Amino acid sequence: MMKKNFVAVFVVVNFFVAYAHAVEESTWGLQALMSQMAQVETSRAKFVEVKHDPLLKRPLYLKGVLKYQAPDYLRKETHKPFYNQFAVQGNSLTITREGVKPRTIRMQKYPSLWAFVEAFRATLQGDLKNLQRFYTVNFQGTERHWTLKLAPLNRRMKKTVRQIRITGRAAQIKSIEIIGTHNDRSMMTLVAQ
Amino acid sequence: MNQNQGKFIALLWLLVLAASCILFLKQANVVTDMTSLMPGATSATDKLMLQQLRQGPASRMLIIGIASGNPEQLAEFSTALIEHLRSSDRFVYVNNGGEEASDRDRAFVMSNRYLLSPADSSRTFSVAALKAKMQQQLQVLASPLGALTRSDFIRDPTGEALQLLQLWSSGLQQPEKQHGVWFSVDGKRALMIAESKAAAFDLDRQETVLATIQMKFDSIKGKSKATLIVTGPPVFAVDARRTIRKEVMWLTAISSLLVLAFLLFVYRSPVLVLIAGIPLLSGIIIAALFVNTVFGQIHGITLAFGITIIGVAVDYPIHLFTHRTSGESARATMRRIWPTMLLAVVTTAVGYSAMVLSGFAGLAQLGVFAIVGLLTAALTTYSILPIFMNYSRAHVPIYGGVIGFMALMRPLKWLPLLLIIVSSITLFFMQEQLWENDIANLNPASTSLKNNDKLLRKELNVADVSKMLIIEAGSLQSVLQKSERLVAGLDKLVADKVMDGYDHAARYLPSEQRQQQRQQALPSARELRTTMYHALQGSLFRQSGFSQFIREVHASKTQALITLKDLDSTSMGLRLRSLLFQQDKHWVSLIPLHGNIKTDQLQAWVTTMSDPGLRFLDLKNASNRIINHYRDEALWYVVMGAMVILLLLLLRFRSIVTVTRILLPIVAAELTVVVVLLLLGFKLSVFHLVGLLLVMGIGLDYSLFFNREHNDVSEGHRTTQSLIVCSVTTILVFGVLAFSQTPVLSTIGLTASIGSLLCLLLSATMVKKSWGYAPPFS
Repeated sequence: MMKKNFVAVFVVVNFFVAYAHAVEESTWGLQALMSQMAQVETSRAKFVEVKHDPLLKRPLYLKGVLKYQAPDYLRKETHKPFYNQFAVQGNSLTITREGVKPRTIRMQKYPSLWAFVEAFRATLQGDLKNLQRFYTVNFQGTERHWTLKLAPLNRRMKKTVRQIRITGRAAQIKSIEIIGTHNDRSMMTLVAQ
Repeated sequence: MNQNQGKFIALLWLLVLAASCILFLKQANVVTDMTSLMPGATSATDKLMLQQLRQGPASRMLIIGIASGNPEQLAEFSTALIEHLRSSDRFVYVNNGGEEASDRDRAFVMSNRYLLSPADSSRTFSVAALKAKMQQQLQVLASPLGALTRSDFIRDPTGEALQLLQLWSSGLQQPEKQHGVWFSVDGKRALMIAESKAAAFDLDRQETVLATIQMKFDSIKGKSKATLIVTGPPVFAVDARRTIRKEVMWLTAISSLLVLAFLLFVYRSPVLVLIAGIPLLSGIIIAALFVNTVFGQIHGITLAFGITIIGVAVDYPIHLFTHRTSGESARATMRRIWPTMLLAVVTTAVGYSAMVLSGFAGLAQLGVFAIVGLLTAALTTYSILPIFMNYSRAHVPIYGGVIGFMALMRPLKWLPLLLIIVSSITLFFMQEQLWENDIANLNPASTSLKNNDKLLRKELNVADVSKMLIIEAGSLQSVLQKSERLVAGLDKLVADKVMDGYDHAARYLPSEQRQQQRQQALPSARELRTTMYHALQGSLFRQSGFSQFIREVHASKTQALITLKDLDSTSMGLRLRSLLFQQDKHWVSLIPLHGNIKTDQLQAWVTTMSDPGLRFLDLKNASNRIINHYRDEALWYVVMGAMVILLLLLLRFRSIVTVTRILLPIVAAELTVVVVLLLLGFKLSVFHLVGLLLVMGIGLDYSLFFNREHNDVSEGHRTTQSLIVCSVTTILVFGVLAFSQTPVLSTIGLTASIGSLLCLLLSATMVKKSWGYAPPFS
């Protein structure tokens, strides 16, 4: 008799635990993601990027490091097959290439570029409002595996980029995919450090 | 002449006046264009400068700012307003930095890139160069910029379009953008520029344009608190006209009232005061009619200046009234004082003739107006006024203060000489700060307007170009070619740090010759295909991706050449038209120079070029130089006028002592006025000279009267009183003028009012003993 009751309680408790877990997971959404992202002060990840483009004979593979520092610093450093660096701080973007003097531009002068940068930065900042200024945001998934689909609002950007897809787990971005309008595509996978 | 004849003549004169008045009002052509006050240009350079000031695109450009709202709202308003302005058809060009305009620019540059690009084709299309470009572009494609630059890259892998856009914007700095439109850096104002179709001096149309902008803005902003700021040369011009118009009315009204009140107080006879108006009205109406007929127009400032005639011309009836003894007929009084009055009028007219002879159109008008007005007033006083005076038996008492005043001044006969010495020394030491050399200070616009203008210009980075090179040639193409030939030399000047940069028309519109050269230098489709094949060896890029590129290069070899008209559709069109235009029968191109310019070295370079079609112009210097040249000329004429007056007086009095007594107070007064003005912080401009001329005229009037020959004490009293009354009315009129917002009028007013007071006081010290001024008795 004891054994049967114990099993029953065990099953019921497990059931409740599983249920609670499921409920917790299903209520975790865009807001939660954003607030978790906002709490991240700094993050660094190694990336591998594959670019598919009808212009290219075969896909291009890039390797480098992506670094974020709250509140508004984001840097993409490519190491292979060539070295370059794109760093954004506030309103300025600095481009560094091998053998060329670093160039800084104000993003306000290039609205479509600015929109592009904010796809990543606003996400890392957890700033949903800012993100929604430039994109329509679609959220799918759970805390364990979520997908953000961003469709650009900027007229000029719409001509070149169809969608940006970001996937991740909790506050960690796992991949960034940029789908262009000319059959071109770029897939970046990140490994946190 | 008997009573009836007298009445007839008087009535006839009134009718003549009425008729003249109506005639004037019907055909009066009143202008308020400030540039018409400027002297006529003689040299071609000056002509160019004036033409730019009066008609150039810069003179028609309005800068508009929208403030008081959050940036999104302001951007929305900016976009909406630009659309309205574009469709209103009143503007040649409008731009708020909105995407649309630059889309047009990009499209234009892209489709014409090989004709526009200054790059060397043989190098650009070499295998080595293409190979390097492909390497570079691979990196760009792989970067965050990749997706955005892709479609341009396929058509234009060598990046000509991008380089051209950078080159174009290097000549003209782009303002900050927020939400896709131009903004001030602090985000408080949305900015835009609009070039009005109406010519700068067509003030009616400009006013309509400004009203249109305001109206469209009001319809857009709805209930929001947003405000509109509009500035630019048309705004100044319209504002100047409004001010002058208002002032002509106000100043006339106030002066007349004050003088009227004062005369009533002195003469206690409304009839007498009314009669005094006749010579004044005569003078003004006849003078206005005369000026309008002779010049074909009359400037608003001339009319406003007409008020000063009241101040001087009212002296004539005053002399007549005050000198009449009881029982004496007006005509007899007139005969008594006429010789002195006539001499005073003639010498004053000589003084004003200096203005007439000066090269300033505006001053010449003023001079003519003054001379005709005063002569008419004097003659009217002589012939017509006595007739009217028969209707008034008023007798003017002598006020005790008069005698007291004279007793006070007489012992001070050393004062004029002392003032001359002191002023001369002061002026000698202050001679550096004497002259006003910056004509910007003569702009009658209010300070707030000027500040707004400065602020918006700075935020829009609209260069205030004052130094430039001028190229002239017989045709558009030859001027462009000349411009292109100078590029090498100019680049060297920049490298040598003689200047920081320059802008020239051929950068946006290459000469046909140059365009054709570029076309010929482009590779054929077959050549390019081969080159691309070699360049892409080992590259990740597929050759098939660049077929559009090859096609477009091929098409460029035979495409239609770019014309001036084509560029009108771009934002560079405006810039180009201010750099390239026709004047008389030839074409002119301007090359604005930027930064700290070493003028001597630049001038030396221009000289070594030995090309009569190439000149260096410093706009600020040039316009100041013109003004100063005419000021010096005017000064010269004044001196000549003084000589003539001296001669006249010597002829009349034949005694150096007498002439010295007459002239000494005047000289003292003039010098003292100048010192006072300098101490008040003013610098002398040509308008101060006008004021000094006026003072001379007034001073002569007083001095001559104070030196009349007679031994009658009471006559002396009458003269003194007459002169005091004259002086007060003069000071009243010019005092009112000193409050004008137009610098021209306020400087004349200030100078003349201080001057006339000094003239009265100093002339009084020179009075002869025979006038019998014993110590005052009750």
